[in-house]
Amino acid sequence: MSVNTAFAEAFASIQLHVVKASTELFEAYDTPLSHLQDGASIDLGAGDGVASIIGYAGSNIRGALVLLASREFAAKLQPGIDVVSDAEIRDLFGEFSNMLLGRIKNQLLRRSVVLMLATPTTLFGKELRLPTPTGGTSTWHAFDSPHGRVFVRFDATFDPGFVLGDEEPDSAEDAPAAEGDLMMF
Amino acid sequence: MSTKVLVVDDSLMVRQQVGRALTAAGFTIVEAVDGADALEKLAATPEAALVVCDVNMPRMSGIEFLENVRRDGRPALPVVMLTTEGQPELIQKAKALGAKGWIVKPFKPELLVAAVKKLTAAAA
Repeated sequence: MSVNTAFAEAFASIQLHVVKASTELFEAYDTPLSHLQDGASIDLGAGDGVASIIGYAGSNIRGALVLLASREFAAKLQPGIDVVSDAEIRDLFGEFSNMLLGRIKNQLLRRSVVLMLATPTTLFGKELRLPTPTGGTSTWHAFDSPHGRVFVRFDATFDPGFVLGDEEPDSAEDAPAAEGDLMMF
Repeated sequence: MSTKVLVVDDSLMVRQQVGRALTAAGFTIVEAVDGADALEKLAATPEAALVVCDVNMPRMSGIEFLENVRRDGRPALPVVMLTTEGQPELIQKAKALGAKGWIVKPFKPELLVAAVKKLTAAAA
């Protein structure tokens, strides 16, 4: 198998984690997502949009995650608390991108890939339309939800030596802690 | 007087979520936005009975905060880490520094409240 084929397969496999992590995270905040087929338009339409971008790096892999939605969508992610100001939306959406990449990181830990995360940057804009990547290791995922559409993009650049291991079972002694887990010492 | 809990997280959203859960359970909340701020708030609120602390924060991380708290003579102060991190090495490091619990975000409010009640009762 060529290096490029191996990277393409690893990237495709990581996308399954991206979709799983996205649906699980938003579900935990009472926002069920349904994954749309590839090729869905990355267009929020008219109105205010919000995007949060967070970089990561690991052994022979580096890249970024982008979370994109309407401002209305973002404001509904914290039930019971009014999220109105720019500062609140920025904090909330940035924390979601952080939790999403953290969730992907924990899933990849089970496959022997250790990622370090950067700090999220959040931006606002009108009629946000981000281009569809033309490279092979960058993909948008579109999801529908009761609050509107949300988009997740995961970019990865691989260097020679990158290996995506087989998934460790949850019962493995050194398996990472899962989301929602509480450990008392 | 209700028991005070110091909540340390650079995210307002997380501080609000934790604060809402613990306030409903009868605790009083003191907030800090990072580890350095938490050390100042702890010095100003020595009666705080427990700390709920994020790991990855600007200026001073949760692990560095924990190191400072132990060095500053609060060996018994219960600290529960609340983070997106699930890496076993980090968990072991926090445990070695005397952390009493580790919760991976997003958290279940009822579990957090139960842990805080148990730890503050044990420390009283």
